[in-house]
Amino acid sequence: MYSNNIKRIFKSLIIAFIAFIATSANAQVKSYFGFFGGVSNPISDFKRADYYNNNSGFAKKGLTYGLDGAWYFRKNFAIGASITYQDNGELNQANADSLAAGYTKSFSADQATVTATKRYQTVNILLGPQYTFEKGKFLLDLRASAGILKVFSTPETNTLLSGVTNQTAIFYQKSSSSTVLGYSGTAALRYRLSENVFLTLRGAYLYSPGPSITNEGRTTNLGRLVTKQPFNTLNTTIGLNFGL
Amino acid sequence: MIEGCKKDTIVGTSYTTKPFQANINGSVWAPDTISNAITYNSTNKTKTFTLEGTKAQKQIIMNIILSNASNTPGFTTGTYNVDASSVLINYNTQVYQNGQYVFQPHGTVAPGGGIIIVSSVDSVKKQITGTFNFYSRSTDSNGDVTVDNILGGEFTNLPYTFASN
Repeated sequence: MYSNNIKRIFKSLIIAFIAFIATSANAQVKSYFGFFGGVSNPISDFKRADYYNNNSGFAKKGLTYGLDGAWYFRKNFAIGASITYQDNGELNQANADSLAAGYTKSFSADQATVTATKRYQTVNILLGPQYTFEKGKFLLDLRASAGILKVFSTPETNTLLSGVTNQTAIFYQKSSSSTVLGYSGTAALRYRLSENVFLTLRGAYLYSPGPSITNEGRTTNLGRLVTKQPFNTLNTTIGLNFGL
Repeated sequence: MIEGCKKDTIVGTSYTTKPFQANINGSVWAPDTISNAITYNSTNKTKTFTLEGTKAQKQIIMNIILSNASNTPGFTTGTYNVDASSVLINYNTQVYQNGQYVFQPHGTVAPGGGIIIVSSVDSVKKQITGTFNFYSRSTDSNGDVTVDNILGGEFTNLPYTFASN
């Protein structure tokens, strides 16, 4: 599914590229700044809710918003930057029940109780080169960027087992707050509402190897054990941009 | 559906699906050591169903003795009330005694203090299914009474051995 999404994105980009390259004007594009908001969609392992896959993130669709801008230093070439907040939710009841069932089986426990708190919340600061194709009232911006993700929190769980002699204490998968690297590919279609105002539809793929996860209170490494949580999201947003 | 930024505490609970389990004083207990046998005594013409489970310093032993029984690997289904003679249940806990750990009765399951329901027996596959509940009452040296409640007990398609002596 992950590779299908990537293929679909590349296919769309190539078609858009060919269409625009054939007809695009060759004038200096104006630098701009703007804001956007929309939906952050977790994809790949980040979205999966599989107890037996330690990379499964149990992430959810959430709100994203931020600021975006680009400075054109030569015709259609620019340096683009964005600062984005995104929320990818928390564990729901089905997730907590699934984890409890998994730990019951892994530890051969009589009973497992999993208590989940906190959620995925990050701010991404990304910077990278951008190329813009212009055709009439439409502009297509393609950007590859890299930067940092400030992770404010990830879901935290504590697990209490019953009937397991060597694991009588609660063990924890702690919430993480750290700064990690992130990479992004963005395609934005801008529609000129007036000379300096654009309505922008934007799709941004984000990948990060993600934060390290600390586990406490375990006496064994049995069962699901998450030590790192990669992030994969596709953010679809709408916004307004203002030419400078 | 887009999730809002609410901060919830979600609690998920799962119980064992092991074929022999009970709830002891509010906690699920599923023994990891099980002995389950039906034994025919040709001299007395009795058939005894003995189910014993042990885990985490707790032990449950149940016995049902049928009179005038036949020498077959099956067992009569039905409801059996503890009567201290032909239907017996013991609840034991592990204690340190004379330099070693041994299981000792933790109270007594008095007549009327428990019930075993044998709901089905597959004498070909030698599997037995049923439920049980009981309480065990103990009194310490100060005269204080403790009651252990063993509820929701079940044994489901539990394999047994058959022997004819």
